[in-house]
Amino acid sequence: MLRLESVGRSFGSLRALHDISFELNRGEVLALIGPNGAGKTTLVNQISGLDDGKKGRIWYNGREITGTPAYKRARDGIGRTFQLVKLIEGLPILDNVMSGCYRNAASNLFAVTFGLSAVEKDEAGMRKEAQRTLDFVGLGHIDATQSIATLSYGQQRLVEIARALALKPALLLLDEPAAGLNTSEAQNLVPLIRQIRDSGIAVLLIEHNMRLVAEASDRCFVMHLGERLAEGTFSEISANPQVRKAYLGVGDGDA
Amino acid sequence: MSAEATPARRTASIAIQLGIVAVLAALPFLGVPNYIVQLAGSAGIAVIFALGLNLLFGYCGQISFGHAGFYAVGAYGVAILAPMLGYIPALFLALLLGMAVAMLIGFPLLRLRGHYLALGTLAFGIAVEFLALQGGDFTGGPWGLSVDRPVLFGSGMTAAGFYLLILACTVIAFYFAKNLVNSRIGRAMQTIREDEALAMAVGVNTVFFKVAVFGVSGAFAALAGGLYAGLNLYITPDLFDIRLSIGVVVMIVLGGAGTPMGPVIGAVLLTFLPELLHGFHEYAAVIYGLILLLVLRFMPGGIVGLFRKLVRTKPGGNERVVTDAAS
Amino acid sequence: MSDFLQLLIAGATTGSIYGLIGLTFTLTYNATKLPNLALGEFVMIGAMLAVLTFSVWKLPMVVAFPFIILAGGACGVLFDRLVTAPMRNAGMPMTSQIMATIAAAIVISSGMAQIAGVRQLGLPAQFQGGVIRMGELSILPQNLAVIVITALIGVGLWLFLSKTRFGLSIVATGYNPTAARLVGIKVSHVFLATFALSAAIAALAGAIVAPIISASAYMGLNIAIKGFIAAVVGGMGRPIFALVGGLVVGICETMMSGYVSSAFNEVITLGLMLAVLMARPTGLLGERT
Repeated sequence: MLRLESVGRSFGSLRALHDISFELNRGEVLALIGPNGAGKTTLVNQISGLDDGKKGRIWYNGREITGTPAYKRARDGIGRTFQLVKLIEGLPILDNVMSGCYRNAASNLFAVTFGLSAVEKDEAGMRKEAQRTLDFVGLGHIDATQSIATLSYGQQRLVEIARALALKPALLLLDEPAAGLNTSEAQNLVPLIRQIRDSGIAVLLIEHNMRLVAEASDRCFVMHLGERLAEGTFSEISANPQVRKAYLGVGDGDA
Repeated sequence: MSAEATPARRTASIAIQLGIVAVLAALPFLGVPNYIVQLAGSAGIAVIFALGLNLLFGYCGQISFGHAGFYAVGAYGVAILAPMLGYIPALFLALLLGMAVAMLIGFPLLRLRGHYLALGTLAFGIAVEFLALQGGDFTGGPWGLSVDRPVLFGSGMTAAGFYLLILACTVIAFYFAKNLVNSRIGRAMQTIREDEALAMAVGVNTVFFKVAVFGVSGAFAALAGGLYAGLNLYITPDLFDIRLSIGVVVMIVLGGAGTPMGPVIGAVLLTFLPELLHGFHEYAAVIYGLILLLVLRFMPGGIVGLFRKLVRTKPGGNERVVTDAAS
Repeated sequence: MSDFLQLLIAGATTGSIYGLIGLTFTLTYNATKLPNLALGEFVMIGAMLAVLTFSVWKLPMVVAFPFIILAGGACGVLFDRLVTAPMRNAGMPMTSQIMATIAAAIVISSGMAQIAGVRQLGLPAQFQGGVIRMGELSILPQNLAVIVITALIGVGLWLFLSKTRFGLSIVATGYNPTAARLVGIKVSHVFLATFALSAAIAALAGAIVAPIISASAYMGLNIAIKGFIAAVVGGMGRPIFALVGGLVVGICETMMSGYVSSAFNEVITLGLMLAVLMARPTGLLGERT
């Protein structure tokens, strides 16, 4: 589903990424881990298209997407969440999730501006879809017409994930989903990530929370100073002495 | 949008809206003094102007301090084209011209962010005013142009008739904007405002989108300007200066940016207020500035925001949610 | 050739003023991240105070100038206390904060119009004397004073920001307010000082340029725009860059006036700014250095 070949990114003299290559298949969770500054978010930005290091190549779903603009990649099914929750405050929960349905909407501009009934049907469809994804992430019990301000940070994070899922992605990039969450909220992400994987989506998970990584990932890709350090299952890489050194001790929890 | 309207609520809502429009349409015939009708017409023009900029500024979050430039394009467009083509065709062309210029200017300008964009749009506004001043015979230079009384079906339009034209345009503009924002396009606009990276991540082509919205807001502004030319029958460059650009932004902020009704309330208020404050005319500007400061500090959501907080209805940049008044 | 040099000098004079104002703009922007669109009003206040102290009260320079500078600073303090700090502390979005500065500008200029009327008020030059001749060049003392004072302020500010402890804390706060707080810098004081300092400099600029362009209640806006353009063209990396930007703008303007036509002044300045923004969005000398 996703293949990277020698992807690199330099900022002037700072080499943020160098010669990164890996593969990720449907129904698989690959965890991208590494100490702070390892280049994880930079890499995710390369994959989602927000940044282009112009080094290396990327394939998605069998086609090369190197150089394709971010919005096209999103329309082709690459969804992502961000480190800091980015929800629209003025909109209710449901509408926030619906904003992810942009590419899937059927009605065109003409219909929209003239308020034709096609739009109403479209909206109803999107509402249902959005509610469905909210159910999927475990927020089905809350009133989605409420403001997002009524939610805890952990719940807001789930809404973000729901929004990304509303896109109907084939590849989902989760950028530190457990950041800012308390222990139980973070733990609840494990079954969710597994469910997402089981529905056939390829998941790239960037995380610091080692417990989450241990339980939710199928494979790990360890980065350090912008380069590949190790690759393998969690137990394999956590036994790797180089990895341990880079992390100054791989724990089983997260501060 | 998200609040589903039952058929009964829907009919009631439509009835109310039709009623309001009917009352407004009857205004000239109710024995209301002429200058009030004129003022109402000005208010309608201001509403159109504000609605357009609200799409760009309130929803997409792109700041513009030079929108008077597009207003001027509309006004001068009509003044120059009407004698050849008739008022209504000229108005239509002016609208298209406004959109074209806006998209042309928007493409390079919207690559700028934040205060750079503010400066760039400011520069545009000043440039248009300058061109109008230096336009020699074409634009009438500093003395401006006079506009022929608009002609419809062969005879000159009366004050009442022109008022109805403005009303029609205002109503169309309002519903056009409302439909636009209560749809996936409206949500896309707000994702751009929130964070462009987010917008791209949900599939919005932000470059194209911002330019398109810029174009639409330019069209609205040009329409307003063209109507102004028909209402006032005389235009001079100094009417389209930075005070107009800032004034329309203030209308939006006062009424409530990013809401369908906000620009309407702000535009109507700021058109009628100077008349009401006639006694304080000298201090008008100072009071205006002070009110603006207070609103910015204590009522960031504008009047609509205040209303929502007081009535504690469901959130959303959606007026239908408010009128459907959740139970 | 002497024509060219004359125009150059004239351009340097107006450019110095643009640069000074741009410098104050960059100073506040770098420290607070807020583009202060009310900047021009402090220039106006300085100009009006110059009319008051020199023309009306007939005070000598040594009294009048410090008075104007202090008054300007006091206005800056008031401005921060009443306008920008409340908005900032309430966590208002940047767009609203910018609009607040606009609202303040409206209040200040209209308020002044109430007090002093809208007419232009002339003022005899503070630096009297005949035309000074330097080789092929001739320059009026006032204009020379403008250039010299600008240079002095530029150097002074540079020294202040790079060599003094407080100056460095201003720069540090601009880079990272959170880190600054953590090392014990009182950020709110830094902001206050920045506004006070830029208002004081702006007021001085207004005072020395008043004899050349006259003072009026609504002069702030136009001159502020020139200042922004100078700042943007020069680059926002350091306040000093605005001086370069100002010179570029001022000289281009007078060159265009002298060789082509003065009607296109505005367009030149704007066109220049847009050209720079498009080609090198971070200005001629760039952003943070």
